[in-house]
Amino acid sequence: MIKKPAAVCEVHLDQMEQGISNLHGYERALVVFRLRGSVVGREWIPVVKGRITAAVLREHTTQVAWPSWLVVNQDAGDGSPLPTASVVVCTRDRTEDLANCLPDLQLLAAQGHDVIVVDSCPSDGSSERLVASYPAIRYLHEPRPGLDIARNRGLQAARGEIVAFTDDDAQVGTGWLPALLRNFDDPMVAIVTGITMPLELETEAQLWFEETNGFGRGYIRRSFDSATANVLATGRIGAGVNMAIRRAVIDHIGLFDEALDGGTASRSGGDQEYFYRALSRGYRIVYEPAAPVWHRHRREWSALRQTFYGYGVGLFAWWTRCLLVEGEWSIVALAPRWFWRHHVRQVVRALLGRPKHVPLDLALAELRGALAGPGSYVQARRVLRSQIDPAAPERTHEPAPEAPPAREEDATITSVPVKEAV
Amino acid sequence: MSDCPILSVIIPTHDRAALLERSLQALANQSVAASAFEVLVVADACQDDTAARVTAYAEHASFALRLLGHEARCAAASRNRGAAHARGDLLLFLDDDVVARPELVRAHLDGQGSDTVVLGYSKPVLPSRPSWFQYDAHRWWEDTFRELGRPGRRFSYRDFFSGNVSLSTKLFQRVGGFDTAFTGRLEDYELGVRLLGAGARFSYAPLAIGDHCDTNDLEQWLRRIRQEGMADIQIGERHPELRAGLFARYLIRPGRWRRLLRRLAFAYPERGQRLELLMLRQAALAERFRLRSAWRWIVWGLRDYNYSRGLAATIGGRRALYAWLQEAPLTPSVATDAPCVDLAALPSETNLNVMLEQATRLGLRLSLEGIEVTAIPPLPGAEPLQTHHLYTALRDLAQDQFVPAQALRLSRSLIETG
Repeated sequence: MIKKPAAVCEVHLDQMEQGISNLHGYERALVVFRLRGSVVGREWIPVVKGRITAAVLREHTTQVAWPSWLVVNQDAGDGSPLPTASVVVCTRDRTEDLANCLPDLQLLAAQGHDVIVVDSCPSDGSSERLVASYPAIRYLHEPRPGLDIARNRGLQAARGEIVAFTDDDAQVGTGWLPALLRNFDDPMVAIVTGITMPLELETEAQLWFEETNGFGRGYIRRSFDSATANVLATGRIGAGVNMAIRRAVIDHIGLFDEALDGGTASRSGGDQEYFYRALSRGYRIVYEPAAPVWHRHRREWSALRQTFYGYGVGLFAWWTRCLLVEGEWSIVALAPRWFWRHHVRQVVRALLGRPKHVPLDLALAELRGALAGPGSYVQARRVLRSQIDPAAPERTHEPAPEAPPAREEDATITSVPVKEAV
Repeated sequence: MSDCPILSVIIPTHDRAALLERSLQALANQSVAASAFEVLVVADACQDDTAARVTAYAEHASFALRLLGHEARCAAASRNRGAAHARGDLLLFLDDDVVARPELVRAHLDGQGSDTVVLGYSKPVLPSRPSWFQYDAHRWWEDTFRELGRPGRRFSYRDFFSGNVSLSTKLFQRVGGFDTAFTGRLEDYELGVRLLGAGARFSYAPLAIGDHCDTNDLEQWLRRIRQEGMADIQIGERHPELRAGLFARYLIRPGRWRRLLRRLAFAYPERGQRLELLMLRQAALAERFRLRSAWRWIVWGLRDYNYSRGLAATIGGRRALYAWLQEAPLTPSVATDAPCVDLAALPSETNLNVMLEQATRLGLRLSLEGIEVTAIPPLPGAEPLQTHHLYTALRDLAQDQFVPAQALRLSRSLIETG
């Protein structure tokens, strides 16, 4: 079951005459079709003699007809001004990835957007030095480890009405930010997520990730609210690698739960839990395929296994939070059902060698993660409580106090060394 | 002229002195000169200190403020009384729980034209600890106003909300004001029917924002739903052509659970209170344990049940309801002799206007080179069909069907030339 590397290329439907060349060394390619900036579909296409001809491309465009039609029919928008935006990238000891991510963000900063890099508990100063070479990008140093802690830091330091998040191992496409921002003209929209495509598919781990978990959530714009979607199944809405949050709603739904996601025992789930909270407080979340981000999946198999384990942990960790903090009793029925129907089933299928099954070690890792989830969340909370001053107010689920700007300025100046380059 | 204001703001109120005072204070901060408008508070059977507070406020108010009192226990009558005493050429009806933003009066003035009804944006404000119902209601209101603002919308009488709306005094008097037979609800919808029938044009002013501090919860809503059931019958009595449209959704056969509830509602209308209480308790329990689907199931059942009780209270049994519905014309559909507009060979502007006029009554077929693209049925109680509505209809259709792009493009040019 060896998977050979695949090329990833994008093609605009109105510029297909040339075909795609320079694909030597690949047997197949994942072609992402785009129209007017929106991602309208993607197809696995065999590569012949290092290229894909225009005729072959055209054959595959039948698959993208419907999303394209919807894009064509979209109203151009009423020309009302877009809200102001901040872009936050949280990074931790991945300076090489960050170096690939920053040039695109520099373009956004040059357009006048507020771009922030939050350096989470760095082991050396390399990321800081890298950001220093981009004077338009703000650098924030966050001494406490944890992705959600870094996200909260970014949220509180942001100046825009909307705060867009992406990861340090991702690259944003052109038109990404405006496509996200356009959706905030509906006052009920609290969060907009975008589509995430693979940056490269060079290793087996990357191919398996894309095939099994991937970040793609379809090519049609969708909107979710508590009346039409299950608020506890937020996985299909999107992920933290590509999301934007209306800053005003923080007063109502709070900040990210710092006992969740990377850097804690819970390993993931911070974004999913935040989506849940937004939906359960009556807000709407929009999935927007016109806002693509290109994500470099982890190359090594061991990292992929860790990711699977982390997803298992994270899901059951944030569900545990929902039960304990929010009193979502339906978790009691939902969690065991999902455990049997997804995790156990996945392992059984792998054991039986059913078609399209997930490799056994990945399935097992996710199952083990699920079992560890509830305990991990409790542990993460305990760790968090021991870290922060016991007198400090709970910051996770209660609405933030009034007038946060003044408070965060103080915090920025007094508690941590901050280099602010403008 | 400073002694005669252009616009009269009419606020009916009943025992909500604190809310009212806040609304009055908001009117002091308008971006237009305070002399441009006057405010009439119509206190209806008030037992609290409304009168004293308004009188005290009037002494130092920057705008002209008058207090009228009566004992009608009917918002429609209060608004009519306010309108009768108004000195302005324009009337602006505001509810006592609507807190005007500074641009509100100006936006209403800017939107006015001949025979125009300007619909304001009553932006819902969430209470501090919202219930599930209040979250849903909040979203419903926001979505409703967003729909009003969509370009090319064909307005109907159900877009007329009396909480934040302005129209000329002449127009209001010409159609006879609010019907005071509507003591509970929907007097605004009923006036909307007559306004559109009299040729009024509806227009939405998204900048006429008033913050609507609605504290109603599930129980009050259900009472209103019951009153809505009664009022829908009244509207159907006054305007038989609307009957089919009013009850089209109600008549879709529901599931077993709701069928049972309807049967109970019609069979034992007087015992409804106990069943309602029981179900409300279940709903509260579902919300306590955050069981969303159960809650939704109960609440929608309750909604249906209370609406049916409202119908039962007005019309009696189910048979009587069906007989009553059959007296009126059936669900409107496109008539066989309805005009047909071919988008590839557009008629001249005068011809098109004649066709649209017929289409308002008979419905319209849209075709492209002889192939029917879509049909627009007549919509009783809605604005007359206009060219820009055609584009909207095609665009909406394109969301779930393949409509030849040509049709859309041609219809876009139709708006631009029309």
